[in-house]
Amino acid sequence: MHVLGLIAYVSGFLSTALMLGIACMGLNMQWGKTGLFNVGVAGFMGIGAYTSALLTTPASAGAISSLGLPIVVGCFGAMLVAGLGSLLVGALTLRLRTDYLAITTFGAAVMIQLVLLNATRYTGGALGFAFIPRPFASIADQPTLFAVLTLVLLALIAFGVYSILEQLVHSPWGRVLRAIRDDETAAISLGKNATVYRLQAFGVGGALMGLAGALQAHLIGFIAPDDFQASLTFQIWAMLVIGGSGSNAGALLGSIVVWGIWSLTGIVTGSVFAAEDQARAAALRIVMIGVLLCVVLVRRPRGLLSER
Amino acid sequence: MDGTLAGAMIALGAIGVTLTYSVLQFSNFAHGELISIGAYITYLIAAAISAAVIGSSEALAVFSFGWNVLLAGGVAMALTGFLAWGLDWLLFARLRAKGMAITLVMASFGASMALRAMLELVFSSRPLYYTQELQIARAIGAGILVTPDQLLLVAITATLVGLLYVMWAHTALGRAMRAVSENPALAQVCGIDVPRVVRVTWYIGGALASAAGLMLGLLVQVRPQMGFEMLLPLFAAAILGGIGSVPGALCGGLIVGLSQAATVQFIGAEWRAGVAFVILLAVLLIRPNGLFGRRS
Amino acid sequence: MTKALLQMNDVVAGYEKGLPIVRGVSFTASGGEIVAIFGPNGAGKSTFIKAAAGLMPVSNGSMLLNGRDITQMPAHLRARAGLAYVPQLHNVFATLTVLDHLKIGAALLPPEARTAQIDASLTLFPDLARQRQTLAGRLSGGQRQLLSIARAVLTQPAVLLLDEPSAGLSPRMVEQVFAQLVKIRDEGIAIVLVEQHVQAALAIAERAYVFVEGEIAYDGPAAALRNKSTLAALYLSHAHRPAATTGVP
Repeated sequence: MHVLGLIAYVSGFLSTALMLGIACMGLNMQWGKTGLFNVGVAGFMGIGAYTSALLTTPASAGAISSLGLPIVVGCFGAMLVAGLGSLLVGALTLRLRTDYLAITTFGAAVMIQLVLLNATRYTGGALGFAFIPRPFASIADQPTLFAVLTLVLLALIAFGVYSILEQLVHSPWGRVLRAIRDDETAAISLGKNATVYRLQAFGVGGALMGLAGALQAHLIGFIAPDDFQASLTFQIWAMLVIGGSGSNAGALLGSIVVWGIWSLTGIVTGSVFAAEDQARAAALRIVMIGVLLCVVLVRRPRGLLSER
Repeated sequence: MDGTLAGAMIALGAIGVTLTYSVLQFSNFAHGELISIGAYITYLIAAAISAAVIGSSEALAVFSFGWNVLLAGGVAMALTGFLAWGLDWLLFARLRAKGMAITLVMASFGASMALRAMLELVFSSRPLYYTQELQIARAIGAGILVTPDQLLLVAITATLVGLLYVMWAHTALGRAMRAVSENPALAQVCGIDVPRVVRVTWYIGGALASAAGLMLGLLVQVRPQMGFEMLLPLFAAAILGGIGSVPGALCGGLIVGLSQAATVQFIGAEWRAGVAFVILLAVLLIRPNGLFGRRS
Repeated sequence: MTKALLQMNDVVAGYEKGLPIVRGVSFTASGGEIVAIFGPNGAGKSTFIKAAAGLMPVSNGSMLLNGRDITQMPAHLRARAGLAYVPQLHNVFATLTVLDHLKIGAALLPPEARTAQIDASLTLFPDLARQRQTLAGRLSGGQRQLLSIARAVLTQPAVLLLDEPSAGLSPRMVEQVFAQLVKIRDEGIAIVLVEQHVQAALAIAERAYVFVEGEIAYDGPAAALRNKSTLAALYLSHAHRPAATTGVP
């Protein structure tokens, strides 16, 4: 492979891994820091992606939306809508058994998928949503520079999210959250309203998933309901569990490792399997990640990097 | 009639979910895959029988399928039961021993994904059919149309659910299961072999899932995604009925199935899958313990 | 007071390895006697009885039930081997009926003996006979205690372990429960009774052990403990021993 091509490929790979890493940090906020079980990660990412797409896509032939707002506005809009969505789901279920939250978020993801498919007027339905603006579009004719600049932007955003989360974790708010996760009764006896704190954490996590979804939309420029299926949720979970839940650095590391395994196995199966067997090859990769997830859960439940 | 049938299918799955939940205290996201696996095992065995015994796949009396499918369904129930138990031994039992309840749910989610992908790997995502014959519905009065297949399947479900209810309410095994679901430590000192009850629970859950897979395969088709798509209706039915309650899961299944049919009729087939979510939300808002649930 | 039915030799037990709560206890209980276990809070009485029932990991020592080694036996097999245990709290299944409980007990007997034993048990506990279809969650605290004891006795055990059966009961109810225990003892069963309600327990017990800080501070006839100052002195005894790490001032 050409050197420049390799640089472009690696940049693209890392950009995607960092985008997923942001969703993974969002999940870490909910699960690692608060013990809330979200099985609808892909759904919240989908909300974010479509929100930003609707807000930012300019009027053009075949475009669904015509607002054409800046990408930054789209990203914040995505965080807002996905955050509010999680608050709604959380408010319904956080006081009930933990399993109910899992089931409800799972249901929400199915429902979101259904809306994306059927509200054709706003989402483009199964055909997808195209013409989403990409950052640095003006230099798209120089693929290497474009890919590197995109990576730099993604790295800045991911680092920003990471620093803000670390600040939050070490703030009094983060300490209360940890106290609630580790010993709810004790935290409540200190006068902390556990449900409110949990709800806040759940909302923050959901907003980050929305941001990741928006970034995905702007990275690729095209989204479809199929991009936000349960297998995406599963990948993000695998990233967090393998990286080490409770740790934001672990979430980022896990994203790069799992996305790396995913991409490498993709290259291998892509060259070994015939074109008509590619669907099966993708299935094989999911089996591998699934088995890896289960083995890590049983053998090394704290992941690669875990909270001390 | 479609609603009743879908309801019967959902009920079979929901009873399995409710049993694993009440005895093991966790929602098993891999239950849908047990349905798919049961359907595929049935398919394989039915094909093997029809290859070995000429004429076994010829349509039986008024039905669209041969006796090979029914026999295969029975064998598949037994095998899927063992498989569910094997899954527990391989994965869930080890996590239970470490005492992390919620990681079980996560592991079941991972297992669900891996098993589904495995089915796709082996069988590809192309749908399979138990029979090529089409059936003509007959009127049974009051404007209701049914096919003989549908009647038979409803009868099979009713029999299975009836047997299960008698077991749950009136046998020593059922008492032991109820005891373990309420307090495993106390059950142990009362002389109940808790690991055995856990095994039997998986076994029954797997067998019922396989039966649901057979029905789904006969009425629609056999695909790797078939069970996963049933998962939300299963959970909605189990929670609606009150998780841990067998009669509740039956009623919940029927209600969800009928609502789905009503949605197809009045709103549009594309929103069918949303009904379960709406019901789920309504239950959580209005009556989180379900219709038959005990207070927690 | 013939044969040692339960024999525990130098048992060390606790939730975590390296942090034993019961620290080398030897203990016997024979058929037809009531053995009471007293001790201050945290002395390891409950831990000891749970270890006997098979619910607590034992890191050292051995246990014999009717001469048979049960040290490594899981709890449900101990119950089948003739060791019945009535825990202190949550000792009935709230969603099962009275009759369900008795049937669970009877399931440990040979099939032909089951109905007769359930009938016998209902005769012994007329209170329960009137409510056989009632859910245990609806019973009063005393009735639950009786139901739990009835379920345990129904299995025709050699040894009956009870963890504070008087907890939360009115004095009249305690009297009724203890009167039942005397009847059960007279059938030749060895009863081991952990109690805070010392005077009531001393009235029916033949022998007593006093636990202090996971060790035995007294082992002998129950009658010798009737003098309150003797018991108080025993409760404090280990605190003054130089070996003790924590003590009551």
